[in-house]
Amino acid sequence: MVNPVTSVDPMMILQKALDSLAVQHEVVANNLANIDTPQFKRSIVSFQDKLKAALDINQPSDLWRTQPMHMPIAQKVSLDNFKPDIQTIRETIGRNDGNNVDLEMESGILAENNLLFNGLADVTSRYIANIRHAISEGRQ
Amino acid sequence: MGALSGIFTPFAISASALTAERLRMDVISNNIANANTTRTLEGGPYIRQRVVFAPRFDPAPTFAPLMAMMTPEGLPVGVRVTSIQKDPSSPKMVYDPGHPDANAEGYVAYPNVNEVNEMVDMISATRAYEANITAFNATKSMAMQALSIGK
Repeated sequence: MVNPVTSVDPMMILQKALDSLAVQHEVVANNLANIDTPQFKRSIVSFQDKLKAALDINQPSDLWRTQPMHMPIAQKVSLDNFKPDIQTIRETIGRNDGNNVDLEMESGILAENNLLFNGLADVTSRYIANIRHAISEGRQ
Repeated sequence: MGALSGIFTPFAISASALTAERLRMDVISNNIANANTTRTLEGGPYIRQRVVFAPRFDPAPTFAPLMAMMTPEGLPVGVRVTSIQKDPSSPKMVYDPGHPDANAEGYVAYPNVNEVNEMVDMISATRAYEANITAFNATKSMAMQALSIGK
């Protein structure tokens, strides 16, 4: 099940995205748990831009294209070492106790993250259902 | 922790915060209940108590993707109550010569509990508790969805 354009298994992309969202969820849960801890600094997770860059089909490859209209194929794209970035925000001060966790902001990220995760899990299920459909030659 | 790392860690994180906020609520309730207690076993009026929160750490985590957050103490996993401390501010002196606990000048030492402050703390604890319940439910929804992948 390899995509001919990017040479990355779509399952791998889904897996990395789900893993990253799980990490983000854990970090947000930790921020919320420490909402009343003095001097606690919130952390954030970023992976979307990194994942997009990792999957960029216009990266330089070993294959030469003699025409710009030719399809870029078989890029050396590997997600084996892909990891989300976690960064602790130390610069901002939210309250007098030095804590910078904002309840509304974290709740927003939590809700967004939850929907994204559930949506991606659904996409993964449908992808597997498609494979099953193919295995059974279209019969249910 | 250890074996619980991964998709189940957020449950432990949110649960630690629920425990901490509930303890905070207990202490606040105790303060309000004893707002007029003028004698205690140690002698003197009741002294206001307050909880001290600090981050909680997992010294030997097994979940690799979060290693970027590692500190010398371990991986941060939620919150814990380090101690319950007494508020060092002085008691309220009220002139009431007829009171059995009045001193020679006729003043009674009442606890240094300010009900308004306690109510504000209580609202803060309630909101934090609710926020962590929301996070807990989100974790549950995600775990359920992950378990149904491929069904």
